[in-house]
Amino acid sequence: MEKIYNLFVPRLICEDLHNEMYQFVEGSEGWAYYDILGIIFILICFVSALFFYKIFDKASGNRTTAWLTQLIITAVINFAIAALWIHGRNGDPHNWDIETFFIFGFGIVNFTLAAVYFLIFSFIFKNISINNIHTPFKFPNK
Amino acid sequence: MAKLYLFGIGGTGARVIRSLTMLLAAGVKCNATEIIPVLIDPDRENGDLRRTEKLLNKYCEIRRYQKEDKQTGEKKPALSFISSKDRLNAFFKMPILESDFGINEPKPGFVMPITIVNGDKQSFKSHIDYDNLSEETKALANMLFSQANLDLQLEFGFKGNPNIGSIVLNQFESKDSVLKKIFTSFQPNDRIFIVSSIFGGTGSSGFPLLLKTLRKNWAMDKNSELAFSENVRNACIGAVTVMPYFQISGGDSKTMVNSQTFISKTIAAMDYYHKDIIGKEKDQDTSSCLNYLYSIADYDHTKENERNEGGENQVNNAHFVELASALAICHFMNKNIVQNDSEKHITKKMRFGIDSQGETGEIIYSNLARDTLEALRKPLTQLWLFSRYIHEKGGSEFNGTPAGSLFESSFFSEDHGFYKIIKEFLKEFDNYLYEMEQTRSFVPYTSHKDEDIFLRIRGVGEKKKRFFAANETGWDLLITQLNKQREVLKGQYPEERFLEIFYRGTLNSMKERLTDW
Repeated sequence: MEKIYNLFVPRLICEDLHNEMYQFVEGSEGWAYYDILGIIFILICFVSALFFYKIFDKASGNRTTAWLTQLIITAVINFAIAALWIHGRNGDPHNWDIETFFIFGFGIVNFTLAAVYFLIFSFIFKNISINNIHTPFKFPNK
Repeated sequence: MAKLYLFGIGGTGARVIRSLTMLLAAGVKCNATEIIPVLIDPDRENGDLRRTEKLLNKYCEIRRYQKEDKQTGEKKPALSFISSKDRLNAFFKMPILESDFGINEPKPGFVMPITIVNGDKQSFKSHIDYDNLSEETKALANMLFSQANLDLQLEFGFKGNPNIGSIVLNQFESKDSVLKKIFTSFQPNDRIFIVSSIFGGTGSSGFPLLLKTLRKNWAMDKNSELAFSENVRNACIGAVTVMPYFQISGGDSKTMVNSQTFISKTIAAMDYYHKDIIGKEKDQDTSSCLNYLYSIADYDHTKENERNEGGENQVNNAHFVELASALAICHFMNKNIVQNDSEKHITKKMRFGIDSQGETGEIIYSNLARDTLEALRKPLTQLWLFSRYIHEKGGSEFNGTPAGSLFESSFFSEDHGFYKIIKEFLKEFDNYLYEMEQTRSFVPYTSHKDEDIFLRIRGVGEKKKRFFAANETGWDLLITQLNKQREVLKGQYPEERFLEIFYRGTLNSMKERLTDW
């Protein structure tokens, strides 16, 4: 996760935020904030895709619009978690000082990554689905 | 299991066989290896007869649909109907075979040709060669037949005159009768069933004559070289005799077909049957009796059939009594009959009844007795769901679902191919159900298109919603269940997969949605 964030955050968002996120979490034995946040995001995408393809496996869900809605919901959740988490660490007791503009930027990065992860999980789960094997993309006469 | 030789005599016979074809298409249990229906009616143009013949042909067309093998180019049957673990489909499973009516060359068909001397457009008078009869015989004929009887044109049948029918249909017995040809492959365990009405002309006269021919006359022919005649004579024979169940609009005592005479004709015929056909304990002569006699009637004559005295216009709406009569055929075949000599000559009499009926006289599934309900509800509803999906959603929409995407889009062509034939048959099935609503008001399904398809089955309960489950309803549930079956019979012909997917999908969706299925 660090490497993926490393591609975007220091160049596009803010070097300070990148440095803060690179710190190890106390008592975690070598886990950076990036790792923790990244795993949470991947889990959210995993659960969301699983929900869409196995639990909410309805005939009416066999539409690209339904899939797109689920993707956006997943991405927005990830955006919100990222932005609120960083915002919560500003000031006491953590003494982070990240500007709102960069918090928003970090949220956008997570929004985008969540969309990509959801897409990847979609291609995995669509094959075990009953009704949604054609979403997001249809391959006729398979 | 054994073959069933099924005779449908007259208009009622044809309509009951139509009902049976619908039941067999739905997969109603009938414990026969194959069914050989023979329609007997001198009125070859009769609308009821033609409609049943067409339906039987359509049924056979579906079963025999052939497909070109891509590798060898050889044509092979697309549907195998083999019984195996992965083949549950019961739609169209029962083989229905044509008889060969040709004397010198093969002439397969379902309608037995009836010869009326010197061509078809003959009066009864010329049939019996009245003008060349002796004066004494003429006087006897005048006693037995009215002038209207003698002048009756036979091209439209006997118009409710069994006294005429009993003369014309005597040709069953003739040595070169096509009837003998039908029975050439008759085996000892095969069974015979005769469907006729008791209040008309053709059925009420044809039934006793046919029975007498099968039981007595062939066997009595000492010169007979008919190896099968002994098997036929000893065969288990059942019959359903349909008593009055409808009225005909208009008409008076002067018209030939007149519902006022139905009851008196029935009483007269019953008296004859009682003496000659029904075997009783005191009888020792086992040769001419029936083994099973099913009787059915309906007292509700409030809805009338249009008056048509034969010909292509005589197309009566389907009636619940005909459906029940068709069930009698299945009941007869499903019975495990082991007869000992002491009871062989005793005719077992069966009757049909329903448990109740709605306030408006309508009949729904919950009004049926338990045995009838179990035999009928599941298969008929499966075929109905299949039909509704095909007509309300269509092949192109199915083609967009995961299960439907297994098929080439050309499979769903409306102009040719298997899908077209299936769709036509299902259209007939829809018409059949609609007709029954118009007559005795057997209305097991409503036609409200906006309603959940499963709640359109009347008198059923919904299953409770489950926590953390999709709880789908309506078309979505059916589509999900069809999609679940998309892996079945992989590698087989699409026609076979199509029927299998719909058979399983309809069955599972009903179990999922409704209680007591």
